[in-house]
Amino acid sequence: MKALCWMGKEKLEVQTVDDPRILNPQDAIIRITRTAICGSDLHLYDGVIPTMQSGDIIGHEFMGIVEEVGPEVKKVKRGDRVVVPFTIACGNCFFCQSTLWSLCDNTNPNAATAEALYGYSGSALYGYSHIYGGYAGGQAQYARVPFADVGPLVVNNDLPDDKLLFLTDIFPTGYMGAQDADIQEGDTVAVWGAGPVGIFAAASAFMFGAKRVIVIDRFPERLELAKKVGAETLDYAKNDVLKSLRELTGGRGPDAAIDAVGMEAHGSGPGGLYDRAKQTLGLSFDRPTVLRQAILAVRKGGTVSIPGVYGGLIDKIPFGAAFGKGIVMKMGQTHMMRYLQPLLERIEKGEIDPSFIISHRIGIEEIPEAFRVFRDKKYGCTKVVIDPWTDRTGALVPRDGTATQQAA
Amino acid sequence: MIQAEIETQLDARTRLSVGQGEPQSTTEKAARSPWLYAAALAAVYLFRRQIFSPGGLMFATGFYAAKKVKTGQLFGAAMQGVVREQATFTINKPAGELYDLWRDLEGAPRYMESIQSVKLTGGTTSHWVMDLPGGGTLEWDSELTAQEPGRRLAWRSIGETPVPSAGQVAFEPAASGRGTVVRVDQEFLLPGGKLAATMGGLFSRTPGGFTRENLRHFKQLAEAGEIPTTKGQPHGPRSATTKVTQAFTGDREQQNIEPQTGTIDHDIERQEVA
Ligand SMILES: NC(=O)c1ccc[n+]([C@@H]2O[C@H](COP(=O)([O-])OP(=O)(O)OC[C@H]3O[C@@H](n4cnc5c(N)ncnc54)[C@H](O)[C@@H]3O)[C@@H](O)[C@H]2O)c1
Ligand SMILES: [Zn+2]
Ligand SMILES: [Zn+2]
Repeated sequence: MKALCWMGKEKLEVQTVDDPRILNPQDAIIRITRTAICGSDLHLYDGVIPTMQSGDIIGHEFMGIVEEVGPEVKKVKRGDRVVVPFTIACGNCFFCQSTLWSLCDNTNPNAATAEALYGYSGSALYGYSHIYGGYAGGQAQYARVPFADVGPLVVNNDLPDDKLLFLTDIFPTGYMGAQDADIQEGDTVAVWGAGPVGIFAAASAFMFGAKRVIVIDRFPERLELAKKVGAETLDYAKNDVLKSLRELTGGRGPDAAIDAVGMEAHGSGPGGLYDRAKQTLGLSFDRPTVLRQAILAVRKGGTVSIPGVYGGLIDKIPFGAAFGKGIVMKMGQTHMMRYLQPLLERIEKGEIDPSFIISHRIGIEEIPEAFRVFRDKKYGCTKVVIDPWTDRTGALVPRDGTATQQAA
Repeated sequence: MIQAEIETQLDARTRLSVGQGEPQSTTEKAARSPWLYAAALAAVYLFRRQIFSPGGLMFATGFYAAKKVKTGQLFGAAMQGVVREQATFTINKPAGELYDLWRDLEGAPRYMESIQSVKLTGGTTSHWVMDLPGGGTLEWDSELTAQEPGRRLAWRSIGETPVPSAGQVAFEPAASGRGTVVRVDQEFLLPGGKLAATMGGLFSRTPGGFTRENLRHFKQLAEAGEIPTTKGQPHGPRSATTKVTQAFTGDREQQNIEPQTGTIDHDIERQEVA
């Protein structure tokens, strides 16, 4: 099959590799019909997630048709159409049974490595470094899905893939980001990042009863999407974020703050330079510009919810402010299996069509270039989806003059 | 006040006595070898490059420890004593069920790394074969020294063996009925010389690592019904550096898993989706 392989920092290649096989009795093999690039994948592309190995197949947002099941798979059948959540869970451990699915005890073969770094290991993820299990990912034509009866959501409707695909990660992630923000009826919520996660967090914040949602970013096409879900927008390149948020909230600060940017926040000023230098020198994995702002901006006693990913150590975090203001912080990989069925129902009822964030539909050979375009936010790129059975669609680069200019 | 007690002693019948294995000076020599320091430096380098690994960390720690205590002393002391290891996990299953799973000794290769086979040789005795890195095997006989259903099993090696060992596993209901606390205590008498050298190839698995990972696999088997693995999955070309990293991180999920099927049957009738 064809698969996207990580060959090093900013080095991706589409390779022909072996087809996946059933390795454990509860495995299934999925023929992938749609897959996507996630903001989290950009951290891999930029080489800021440790324990990647050249040759790793990446990608964790995929759906498709079950081709084959292991002898212990009871519910999912050959031919089923499934959406595969990006976290892998066993369903039987203390954490799974407490619905803390992304903290499953039993799916990471490299749990010892994770323990050395984090103390304890969370669940494994598809295509997301060896500390998270080293499982081959889904930017490929087939994928092996362990614990097939626990994770995959079988869909029995005829909605197109594009409407369902984001159940694999970003819609539930934005939704949990809003839930973790502990929003009360009438609240004002600030969301950093108008990427897919931020947009779904903003849309979900209204579902939880927010009265106002303010989305912060600097790319007009992304802020446009935020407006579409009913949010107000704030361009951080043109405004002082802290001052503006204070003004916009009558001097009190937003009731909740959501960091939907994570470890590669774009920073400005000396703080930003300092973080970037540290990350480049390998002294630190993360650039916590947004986290700092969120802590300082949220109102006293408010909640900071962090769906944005952090990988290692961070410094210059205003912990005194967090303490002094008595805030609450919640974070983590999404507990996917909590949200699949309820969010599917919202899509089926027509309450939301998540495909509105898609800007580019491409073929498998175009993925390496699409990473660059998505990272650099070129050509109005907000979300890229891939048909792994098509080589190229030619839709990535617009056919006007900009193409040659951007190719350099 | 109750003092939290985490040290467990094996009972007198199970416990190893120190006179059992003769320390050999080859290990002391190995400890003074420049190769050890070269490896330690390599590990520190890999660590700095953020190719983080337990193997690398182990070496780095070894390096500092060796610098602190005089190498001869450190290894000499370690060689004369018994190596004691402990691992604890809470498993989401009743104690009785877990006891039975462990008591099925012939099933041990399913969750114990590098154990090739276990054969019962009597009511309480069994014969164990372990694969060593580089091809050889290590064989020994073992005897159960305690069997308390639902609570505790203990064992020790019997007869001639290069690595005398003993251990026990205890099952205790966790607070508020949240599963069973399973604790393994093991003792090894590691000889120096040839075996210590072969053990050197294990970089990422110290005896403690084995104790802990085997118990983790036991938990996974008991709770999830299988042990997670990625061995045998597809990947693109691995670079030379990646191969070095893999050697250091011990990228060698245990168990030679036999895939249930060969390749995908592409003839499946496809339910095309729009
Ligand atoms: N918790 C989870 O389980 C989970 C799942 C998926 C994604 N994520 C994480 O969520 C984050 C966002 O993902 P995405 O797919 O939306 O990525 P993305 O890269 O498309 O979006 C990030 C957005 O943040 C904006 N941004 C950068 N610096 C900023 C700043 N200083 N202030 C305000 N906005 C800033 C960028 O302009 C961009 O629009 C990533 O860190 C990703 O890893 C987490
Ligand atoms: Zn993702
Ligand atoms: Zn679990």
